Amino acid sequence: MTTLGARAEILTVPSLVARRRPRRTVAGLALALLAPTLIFLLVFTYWPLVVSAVGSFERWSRTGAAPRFVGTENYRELWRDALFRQVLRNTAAYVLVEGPLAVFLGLACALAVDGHRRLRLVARALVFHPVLLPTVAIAAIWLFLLNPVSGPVVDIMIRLLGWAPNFLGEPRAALLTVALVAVYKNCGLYMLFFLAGLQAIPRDLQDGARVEGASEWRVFRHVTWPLLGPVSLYVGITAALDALRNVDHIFVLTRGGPANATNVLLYETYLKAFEFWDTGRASALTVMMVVALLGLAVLAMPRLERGIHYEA
Amino acid sequence: MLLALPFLGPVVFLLLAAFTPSREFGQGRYWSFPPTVENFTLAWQSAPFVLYYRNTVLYTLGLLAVQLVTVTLAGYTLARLPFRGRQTVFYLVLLQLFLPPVVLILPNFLTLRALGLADTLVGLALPYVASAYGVFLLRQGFRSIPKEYDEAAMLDGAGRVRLLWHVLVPMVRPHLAAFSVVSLIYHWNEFLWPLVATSSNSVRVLAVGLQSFTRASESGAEWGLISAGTLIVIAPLMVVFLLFQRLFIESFTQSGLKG
Repeated sequence: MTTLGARAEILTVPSLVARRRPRRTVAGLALALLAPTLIFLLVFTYWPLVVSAVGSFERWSRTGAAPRFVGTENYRELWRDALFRQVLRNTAAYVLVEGPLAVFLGLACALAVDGHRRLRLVARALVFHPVLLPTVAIAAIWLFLLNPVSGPVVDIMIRLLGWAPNFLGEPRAALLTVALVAVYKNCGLYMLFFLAGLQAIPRDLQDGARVEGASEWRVFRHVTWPLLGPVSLYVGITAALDALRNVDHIFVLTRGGPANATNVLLYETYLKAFEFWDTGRASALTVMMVVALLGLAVLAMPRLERGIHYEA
Repeated sequence: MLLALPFLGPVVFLLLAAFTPSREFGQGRYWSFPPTVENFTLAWQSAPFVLYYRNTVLYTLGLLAVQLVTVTLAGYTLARLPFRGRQTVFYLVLLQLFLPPVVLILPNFLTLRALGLADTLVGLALPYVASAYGVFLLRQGFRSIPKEYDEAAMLDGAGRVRLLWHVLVPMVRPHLAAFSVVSLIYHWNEFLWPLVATSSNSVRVLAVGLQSFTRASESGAEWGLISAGTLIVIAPLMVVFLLFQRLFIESFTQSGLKG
């Protein structure tokens, strides 16, 4: 940072150097302007990490007495708990299905609408509109579309195929169904990112490959896809983050059921914290979520940083 | 185009169900003519949507007003002021993208309770006052302005505050607009944190109201009622989207890892 400051000094116009305030004032001004952001960041992003970490080593009684220190007991109990292991499996399956599927569909839509100008506006709006709607509203729509007794999707499938799955009532199907509803909600956003990425690719590169007789698939595989690399990575990280943190639809569609089949980490944290008021275990769950997210950040930050330097 | 059509399906059924009596819809008759508005009158009577609207508007607009100030000041500082530790501060802010308030519902709820701000609209907004996404976007905006503007203004004797307010802020208006759209939509639709942070009906927001409304109507298979309630909540969003489609699409294209 000092080097940067020194360089700035060399570069400034002489008349400005004379007028420049002492460095201490600049630092003071910086601190004052950053204060609102830093204070709220400290209280509502970093302090919570301390609160959860401390809370995860404590057992809180329901009577309102002061919590007592229990070491790693909350974590050990969770690990022995079959429900917790199921929640972890559910979360992994949910993220691994929802994320890639939403990214893939977003890319497919982007490639499909890229190029055709007039079509693009309509198709883009169609695929994008669920992004703007509350997840609970989307879930409310699908709740009745998929209802086993009178839902239109079930009704149509039975009329056409003579059979329909119990989308939300059967454990295995239910996890897939909540994942697919999230795909419907999210993929429009990823499509926008991919469209922006496609626009940044010079047309002559693709046209050149076409002139040399490459098939559309080869153009995509060897020209478009490699150039989309940074965008895909960025979309992938966003998708993983979205899958971990948006569980609103589960509140409407299944409430974690049937038989905990759709209970994922954040939903379980909510249950433990606000239905069972088990602050100790809910804190331990929060810590695990934070660790997972920080892992994601460690993976992503260096690449994000590169992106940041490009823009300079 | 064929790929995009299935996305229309849910909205079509939503509209049909809202204007058809629930009994008929349940028997596989997906439309009725003439359309009925009984679902809307019933939905409007069974939940205080006006109150939910008022709370949601107060929450989203109040929060946005504060955010516009914090992200402008922080974005400018991180883009332009040379001071020791600037990069570290920037990373501390950026890390918030990965620690969104929604995963910290328990500790933040405990903090709000300790501050005596649980179950208030102000308490609801506090975790979002610092916005990593906004700071990141505005920092980018300020960096894209050539330094010559600063120098010219300073030579004219303007202080940094006047420079910021009269010269730089007007130039980052597109960034502020993009941030506003994303923030408004995100908080208008928000569910889990408001569910936890508020408990009285008097401070309930739309998404939470819609969820409890859906839960209450689900057992009776009142699909018409649920659809009408959903439409009451999403109609303004859809209308605004159709009017300002370009602004919305461009804003979200820039959003990326929003927080």
